[in-house]
Amino acid sequence: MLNKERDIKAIREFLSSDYTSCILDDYGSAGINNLKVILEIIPTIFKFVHLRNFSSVTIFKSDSFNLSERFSNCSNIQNFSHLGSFNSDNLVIQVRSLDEVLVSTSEITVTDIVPTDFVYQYTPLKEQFYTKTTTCELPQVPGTDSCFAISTFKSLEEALYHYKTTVVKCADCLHIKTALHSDERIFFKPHPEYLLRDSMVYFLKARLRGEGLEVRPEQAVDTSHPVDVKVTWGFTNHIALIEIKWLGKSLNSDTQTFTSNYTDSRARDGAKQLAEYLDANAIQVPNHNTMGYLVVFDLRRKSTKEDTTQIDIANGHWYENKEITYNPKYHDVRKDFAPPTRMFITPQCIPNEN
Amino acid sequence: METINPFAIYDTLFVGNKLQRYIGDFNSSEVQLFCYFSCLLSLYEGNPTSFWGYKFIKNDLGVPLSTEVYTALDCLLVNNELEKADNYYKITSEGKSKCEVLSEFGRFENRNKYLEASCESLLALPIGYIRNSINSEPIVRAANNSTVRTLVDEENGAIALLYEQFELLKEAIDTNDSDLFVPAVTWLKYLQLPKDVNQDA
Repeated sequence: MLNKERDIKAIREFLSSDYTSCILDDYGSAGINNLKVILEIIPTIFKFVHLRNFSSVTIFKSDSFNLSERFSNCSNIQNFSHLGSFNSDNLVIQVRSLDEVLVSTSEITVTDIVPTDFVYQYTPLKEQFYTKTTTCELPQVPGTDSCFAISTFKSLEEALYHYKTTVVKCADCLHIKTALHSDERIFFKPHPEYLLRDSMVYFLKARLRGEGLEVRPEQAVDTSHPVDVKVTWGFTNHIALIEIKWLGKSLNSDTQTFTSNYTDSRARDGAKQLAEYLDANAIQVPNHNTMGYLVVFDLRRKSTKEDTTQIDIANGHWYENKEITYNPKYHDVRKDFAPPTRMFITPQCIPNEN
Repeated sequence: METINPFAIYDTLFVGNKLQRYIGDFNSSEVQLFCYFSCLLSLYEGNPTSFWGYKFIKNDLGVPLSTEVYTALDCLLVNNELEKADNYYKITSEGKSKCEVLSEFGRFENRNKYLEASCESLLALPIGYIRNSINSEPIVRAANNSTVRTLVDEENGAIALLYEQFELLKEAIDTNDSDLFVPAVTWLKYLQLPKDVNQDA
């Protein structure tokens, strides 16, 4: 049986800060119709606006508030590529239709608009919807500036590259942040492998597209071989097996001792292990077209001790461009082994002394 | 010979047209996903399972699909109402025109709001999120723990769980608005709330 009261309470609590529900409550069906237009136009606008250049980007649709009557520097834009030419701290966009917007670089007071219409606002720290009665903060999505500009990928290679450059590089994901010992990103906590795997699974599940796609963590290749991530494209015989390894040191903060110290040999062990999985998989499912991927999370730092709490740029980035030499080079000698991907996690450094 | 289901033809055109507008193109799994989601939204409004006009089963991976939708995709491709490249479809101008004409027919008009709401959820949520939510809904979840193949069927006991979940949502959302965008998006988010909230459903 459902615990009805508990669940209704939980849903209502969640709805009290959810923008769709708050807009419906405050502006009714007209507000929802405007919301659909805003949500459809935002990804188009964000293709041309480099969000990080602005302190705020404010977007709204209103019949009561007219931007051109408030600000003389207002531009009417129908070709959205022109949005890229605005160079200012703030950008205010009034949506007229899916094909036409008014743009101003003036500062706007949100409270002037919300009595009649909701307002969406991006700032580098958060995205929010303002309504008559509520301010709804949107969840942060790893690897993207806005939860309305989430790119998807049709190829696993493309998805892994994006994951490496936008999520792993700056640890822009709760799972990876949790796996790290401190904000300086010098050491892992003990046993970070499950968090690293979950980070990748979460990303691939959300971003990868494909026929009958399924992304599953920890899948058995045979009775003794569990692979970290398995990606299956249903209705085809295509499978990807992803083996994850991490390099660097893990620190137990209670005992202030290193629990592991993995160097590049760990990555080579991973390559050997993946080659064995692929062999076992070929016996288990001989008719499948399987590709193996080795992903190495690299947190190696130079000259660190148990009591290191800060790191300079030279030592922090020492390994950033030091690729791992594999022997044998399975990716060269096997057709089912993709080139290994090393994902370097950059540290938060203090300036070098000299 | 495979029979062509007119509802599946219409739904495929409608969903394909919307997916193309929102995400550029679409594959067969994505069409299946949104047809299934639309069917569930018709239950939200209290329609019987027979309302939808064709059935869904689970495949070997436990994912909902309809053979009628596959047949519709093939048929529309042969008629040049869809075109396909690298496993992704696009709707042609002929397909768009056909969709527009059919949408005014009485027999299809009454399913527009469900198809519309399911596809519009893509405005608020990424497609991967929607896929994960639908794979966690009560009927699919129950089917993955049993030998049941037919999903949306009065004889499937899990339907009762879905109706109960929808009753909760209706009570919590508490609106007279006939547009299903907010319930659709809320339900998808609800399905991914921490397990202690929806574990029983």
